[in-house]
Amino acid sequence: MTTNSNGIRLEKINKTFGNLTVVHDIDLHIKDKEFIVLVGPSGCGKSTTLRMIAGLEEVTSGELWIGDNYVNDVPSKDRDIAMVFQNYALYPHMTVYKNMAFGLMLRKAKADMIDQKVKEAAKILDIEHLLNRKPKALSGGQRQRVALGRAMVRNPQVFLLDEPLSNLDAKLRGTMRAEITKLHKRLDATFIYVTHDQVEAMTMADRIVVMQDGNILQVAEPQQLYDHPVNMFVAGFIGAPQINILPVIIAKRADGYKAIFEGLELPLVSNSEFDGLAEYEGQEMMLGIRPENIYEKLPSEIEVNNTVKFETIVELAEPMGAEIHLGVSIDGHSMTARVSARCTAKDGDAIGLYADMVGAHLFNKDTELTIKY
Amino acid sequence: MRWFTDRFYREGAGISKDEPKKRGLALLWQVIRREFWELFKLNFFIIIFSLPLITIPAAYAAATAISVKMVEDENVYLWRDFIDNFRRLFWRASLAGFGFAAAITLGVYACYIYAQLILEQMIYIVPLMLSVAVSILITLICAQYYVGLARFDLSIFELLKSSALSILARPIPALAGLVAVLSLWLAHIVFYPISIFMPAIFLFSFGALLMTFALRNNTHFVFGHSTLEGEQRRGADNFANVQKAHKHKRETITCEI
Repeated sequence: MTTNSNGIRLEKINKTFGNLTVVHDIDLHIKDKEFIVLVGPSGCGKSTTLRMIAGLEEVTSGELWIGDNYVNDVPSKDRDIAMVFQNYALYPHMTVYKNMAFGLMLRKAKADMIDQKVKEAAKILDIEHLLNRKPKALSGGQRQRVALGRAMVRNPQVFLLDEPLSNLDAKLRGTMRAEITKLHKRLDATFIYVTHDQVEAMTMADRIVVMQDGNILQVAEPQQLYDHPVNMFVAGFIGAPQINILPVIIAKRADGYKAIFEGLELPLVSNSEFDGLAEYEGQEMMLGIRPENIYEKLPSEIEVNNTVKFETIVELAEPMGAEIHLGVSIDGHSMTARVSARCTAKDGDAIGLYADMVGAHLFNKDTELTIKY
Repeated sequence: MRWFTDRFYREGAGISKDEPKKRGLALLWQVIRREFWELFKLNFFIIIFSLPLITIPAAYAAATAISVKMVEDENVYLWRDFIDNFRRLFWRASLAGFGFAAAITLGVYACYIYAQLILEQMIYIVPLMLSVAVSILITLICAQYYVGLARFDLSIFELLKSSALSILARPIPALAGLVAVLSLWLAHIVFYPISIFMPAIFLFSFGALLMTFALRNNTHFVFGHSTLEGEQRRGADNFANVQKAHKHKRETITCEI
């Protein structure tokens, strides 16, 4: 079974456990050889979706296609997929070699072929020196490489990775992230990757699928997702620190629409010809400003007319090395700003911060959907 | 049960790629620790496959082949590898094995005869010592033969020649291996009947491993040459290429000088 150019298609897929529906009518088309990341908070149904693709969970309703094959009832072993789990799921009593060879042994592959594939995969993953060791002796990163190797030797069309880096420390996670991305390019296979870490999603994916409560909210390329989130949840989920959300009222002025926040008039810089704000005039809305669009001192390339100055009180300054995350309050509303590492503001200081409104997002207060303007 | 799970899934310290390779007894200890359970199983296989008696040499050869893989830190599928090697080495192991058995029996018998004759005339101590030395030498060549057989695809004659050369050139490691194996058997005899299950549990496989470990460098020492000759005769290109590469390297170095 191959994914060929049709990739993987999920059509109106539902999954229920008893009375609880964990995946609602999702439609998704994963292109062949694509690196797609399912991202969302715990319990959003991303792992369940992955497990349905893997054949480890039954599809309650809907159709699942891998390539041209309808696979709802096809057993996992016949789907030409390989899965890597968060806890590695290595057999503790087997050596690394045997862990990697096990799948091929079950398929009754020839010994020479098994040996060749295992050694090839080990070379790619740089674990040749571990082949005759047992998982007990290996570190988390090494175990994860073995788990990847075990998937690789099968030479599957689709790799399913369920939070494979969650058990690793931050440094190793960064290294392995790069390794997996390289591996995808090298193997030229479809990768479906589940994570709750938006950094992983942004850095690795060709496209990201954001899920919440069993629904797909948005499917887009990482930058597209960051620049044009479809709703407040996606805007909040993607980007670190999280986007600042302020309650505003839309008002029309001679020089355009403004978002009124605690007496301040924030210019709404339209990025389209569409005059979509007319119907929202006088209504309460939510305004999203990314922390990286807030400055202690305005850079010269930013047009002053598109900015607003907030008088704030510093609540918490978190030095990150290359920058400082300033937690500030404006009339009881909390905001976060990513400012230069040279900023000397300390907790309790009054400080003026400039927000560039060009990248600001406006959300409907009730539906939380993004409003284009 | 949780205790078992935690124990199995606890992360280890990791193994550095640049970790220096263990040598000598430390390496032997590492191999024994790593292959502990496999050695028990291997012992069982040796016993089962030796039951028809005529198959003892092939069973020992298969066990030696497994031991070679263990010492060289290669993956072992015990059952599959044992069977494969048993079949592959059967004739060369058996023919030579019976020859060695006859020679060793003859040597031991000669020792017995001369030992009795010493009681009448002390002069027989000379042939006795000679018989002892020859018997030990044949035993060592025999052990070396099986290690060579497991590693190199050579004819019986080539193996015998290389084994003899190898033992004559480097007898000490082989003797050390033999002493270690004899010590295990001596312990079995001394502690009998407490040690009654020693042969059934590990004596044969540990013996094969110890001899293989002791003789592993000997094989590199002499067999490499024999293998080269053998391979060249068979027209294999690999070794010719290696030689060509070495020659080229020598010429390059000469030119640079």
